[in-house]
Amino acid sequence: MKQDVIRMKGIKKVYLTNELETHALANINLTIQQGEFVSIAGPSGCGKSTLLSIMGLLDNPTAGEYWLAEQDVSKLTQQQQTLIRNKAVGFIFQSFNLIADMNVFENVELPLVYSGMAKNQRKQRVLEVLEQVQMSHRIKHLPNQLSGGQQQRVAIARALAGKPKILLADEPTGNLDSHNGEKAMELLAELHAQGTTICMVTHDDRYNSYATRIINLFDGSIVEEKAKLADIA
Amino acid sequence: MNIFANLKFALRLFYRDIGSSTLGIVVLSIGLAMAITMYTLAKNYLWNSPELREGQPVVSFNWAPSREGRRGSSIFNYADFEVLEKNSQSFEYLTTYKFVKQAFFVDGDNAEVSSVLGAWVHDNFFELFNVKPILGRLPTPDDALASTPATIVINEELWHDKFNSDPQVIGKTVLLNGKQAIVIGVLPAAFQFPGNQLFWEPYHWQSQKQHGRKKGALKQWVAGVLKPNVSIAQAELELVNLVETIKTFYPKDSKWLTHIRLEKYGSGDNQSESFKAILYALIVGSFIVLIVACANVSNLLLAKSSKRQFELAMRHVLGASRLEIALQVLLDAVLIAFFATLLALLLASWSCRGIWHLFETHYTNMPYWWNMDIDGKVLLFALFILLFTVVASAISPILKTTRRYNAELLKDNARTTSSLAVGQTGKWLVGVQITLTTALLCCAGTFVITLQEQLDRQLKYEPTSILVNRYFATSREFVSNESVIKFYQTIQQKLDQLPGVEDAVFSSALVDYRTSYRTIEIEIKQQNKEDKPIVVPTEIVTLDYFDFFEQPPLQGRFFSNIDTEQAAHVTVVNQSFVEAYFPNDNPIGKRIRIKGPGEAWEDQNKRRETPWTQWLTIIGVTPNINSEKHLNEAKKLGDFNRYIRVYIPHTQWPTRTMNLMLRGQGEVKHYAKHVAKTFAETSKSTASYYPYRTLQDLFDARDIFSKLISQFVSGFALFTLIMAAIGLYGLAALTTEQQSREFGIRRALGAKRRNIITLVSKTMRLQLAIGLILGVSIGFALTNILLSSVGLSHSEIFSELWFVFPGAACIVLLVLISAIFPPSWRAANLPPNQTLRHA
Repeated sequence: MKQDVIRMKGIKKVYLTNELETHALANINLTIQQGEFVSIAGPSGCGKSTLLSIMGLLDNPTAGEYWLAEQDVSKLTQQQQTLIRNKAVGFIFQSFNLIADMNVFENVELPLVYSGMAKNQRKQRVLEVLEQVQMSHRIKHLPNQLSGGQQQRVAIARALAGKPKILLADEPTGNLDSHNGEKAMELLAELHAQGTTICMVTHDDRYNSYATRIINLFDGSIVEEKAKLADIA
Repeated sequence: MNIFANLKFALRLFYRDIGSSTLGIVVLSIGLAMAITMYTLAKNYLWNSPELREGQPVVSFNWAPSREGRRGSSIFNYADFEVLEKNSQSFEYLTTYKFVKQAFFVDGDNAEVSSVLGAWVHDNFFELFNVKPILGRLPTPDDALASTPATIVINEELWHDKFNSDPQVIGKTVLLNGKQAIVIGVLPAAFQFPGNQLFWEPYHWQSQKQHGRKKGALKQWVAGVLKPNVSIAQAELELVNLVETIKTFYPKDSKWLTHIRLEKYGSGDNQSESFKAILYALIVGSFIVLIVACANVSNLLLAKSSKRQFELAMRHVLGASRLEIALQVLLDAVLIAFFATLLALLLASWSCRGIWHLFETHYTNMPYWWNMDIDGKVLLFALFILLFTVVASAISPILKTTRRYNAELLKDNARTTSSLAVGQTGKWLVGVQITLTTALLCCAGTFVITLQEQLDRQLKYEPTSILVNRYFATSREFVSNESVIKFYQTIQQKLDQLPGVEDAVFSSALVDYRTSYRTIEIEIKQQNKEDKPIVVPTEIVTLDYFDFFEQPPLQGRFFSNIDTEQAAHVTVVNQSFVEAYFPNDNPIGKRIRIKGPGEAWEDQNKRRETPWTQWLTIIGVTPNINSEKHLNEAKKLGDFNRYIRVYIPHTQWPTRTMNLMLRGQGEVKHYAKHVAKTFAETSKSTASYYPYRTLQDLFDARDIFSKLISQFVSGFALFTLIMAAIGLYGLAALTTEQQSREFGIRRALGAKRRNIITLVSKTMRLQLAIGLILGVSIGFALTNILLSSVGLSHSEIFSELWFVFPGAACIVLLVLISAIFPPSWRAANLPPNQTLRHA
């Protein structure tokens, strides 16, 4: 039986600003199993990024229960969440979010540094993931010396470096042209094929086809869930 | 946590942003260097004292002032010392000594006589200190009893200078003011107590005992070392009873005795209150500069970390703990602080060396325990300040980055335009800078203008072309008054004959530099004995003294050869005297008499039975020789007593101590060796008191501290102004950079350039307004305190210098507007399409 990487029950997120309550998420029940490629879709402002932030422990839900890698993470301290985030989650952002003052190698190495991995092991692992995303020939380059597509590949390598339980991708193709966007998605699909669990936020329908399950969000609620026939089978 | 990797990255950021990093280092290092230099300078005056017995300070004894506003006295009679020594339980050691400056002559020393500072010391003097001679021995009580020849111990420095470090020096004879003395020991150069003494002569005070507490008895200073566990306060309490004992023993001569205060020898306790106030004000000033520098660096670090918000947030997302994030921010600050400390120590060491050089050049008797070394305390203080700066500047960015919800920082080009806008902390830091800068500028402006006014003397003569020195004709060589008169006349004649010398005269005082006040009585005017005594400056001068200043008499005549000891005694007064005492009358022919002219301690004055001179007839009125400007200012304030002069001829009132004034063609200092030779040829016991200097040198030496203060205060003000401008510029630049998208939108919507400039200016208007108002108010209050503490009439000064306050505010405003303008202009000129695309 496949393990649940993410299990959410009754997750709510309410923002309070100037005595005004904004319900970003309302009663989200969601499970992502190991090896799944889930795409969260929906119009702008529907709560996709908020949901991803809660999944990645960047934000806490206002209510509800949340298990990440079989561990209840709803009531952890920030320090504990940081540790889990480092071990279990890999992030991919729309604007890549590579650190401009670090070269490709250092950017990919960073989560491993924080996890306390030994230097030799780090080096080996970084080269391994860079090879995986076909960026090992650019290890000394700074982010601004790379194209958008290359930057995103490095960002994916960084997300993969710590062997996370799940990759969370927030509009990974949003800043890429269609050609590079396609290539990035192919890379994600390849990773998925190798067993990586992926949860992606996108509002580009073209890329939903790479996912095994599509969740439609509207006004903070899941309004539709579609699974590919092959996966259902 | 990998500190090395973090440090490596911090260094990379440091070099990438080398411009702002260097700015931070320079600003912080100058602030720190100023504070270190100021502290190092002030410690000499305020806190440094010699500690000669294993950390136990030497305390000096002082009579408390009899009335508020008067000065106390540190002079004791031997009778007092005897009572204290016999009865006090609080002291481990008590001793007494007297400063002396004597003509030092070593036979075979190329006949050169020089004036050397020494001390007559009690036979237990050396017990107080753990000093051991490097040659010979210390004096014993028997040495003090042996009246001829006297014995002396000398300092290593004197041994080197006068005896070429001759190991056979022990037993050699020297002449001290013409009196024979045998060298019995050489002490290490480091020992110079109580001041800069180079020799010590054991003295038998008991022989003076018959004088008791009467006037004329030999006076001396008293010092001691407290017993362990006895505080100064406890000892002072015991001394209250001992003063009563003195009063019981000497009821007639101790009516005016107050109580005894104990002060750590050489510490700031001995400085006047106004002097201490200035020093404390300067330390506060340097602290303000440092605070402004720290505020500026904090702002710079805030700006830098604001730029790093994304990177720090990303680290947080990737698993960095709060400590890791804090370390990242701290390392940024630590690097700046580290390099700033190195540079500050270098700058401080240079400035301290510069000041030390000034001291060495101008102070002839600098206390030996003074130094301008940057000591451990200062370093500790500097490190504390740096730690404070580092932590204070890092807190805000750390909290900002590690707070709960930071996903916003990683969003793509925030949906609003001010998500990264500079925080309130930065704005208020600049507000603090503006307040402190304005306050400091107000203080500095008032203080410097007042000080400059005082230093600008507008003299009637050229002080750079007058060579001066002081001499003492010893009673051993010049026994009678006639011989003293003849000695100075002979010297004057010889000097006048030197090639190039235009004129040489002697006076007991020194124009615009040294005066001695005497009580006078004006015949007829003061018939009522209850009248308040008139105390005015008097000068004993050689006969042709007035020719030196090339001003003819306003009335009557000056002294001449007919004014001999046997002739009717005469006096010349100055214009101010006439204005004060004969405003509508002809002073010529009027008579005055003076209480004991000459130095009170000189033999002929001590022996004089009647303190009054005979009546002296005023024979002439000289124009005022002193600074006319200072005189007019004094007249405005209604007190010009110190500009009054009564002159009496040396032929009728000879005094042994006289000051030479010599004017010659060309560089006047070149005559020094000829003058010294002339004295040496005429007397073997008369040495110059000081190295030969011009009158201007004396003024410079006296003004050195005022000038230093003036330069420090101006430096503080200028530096804080520059820093405030840099701070505001940085903030405005950061604000405009962060809000460029907003400005782009506004421009796209039709905003004109001036709208954008106004918008940027408005971001700081509140801080600017509050800073200026607060700054002027604080500046006003501080100036008031400072001027009052140095005894200046603040109401008078404020009425003349009112313009400084609005002026300072205007300068700050102008400088700050200039600082805001470039980034505002840049923001206003950015093409909207560019800012909207990239923001």
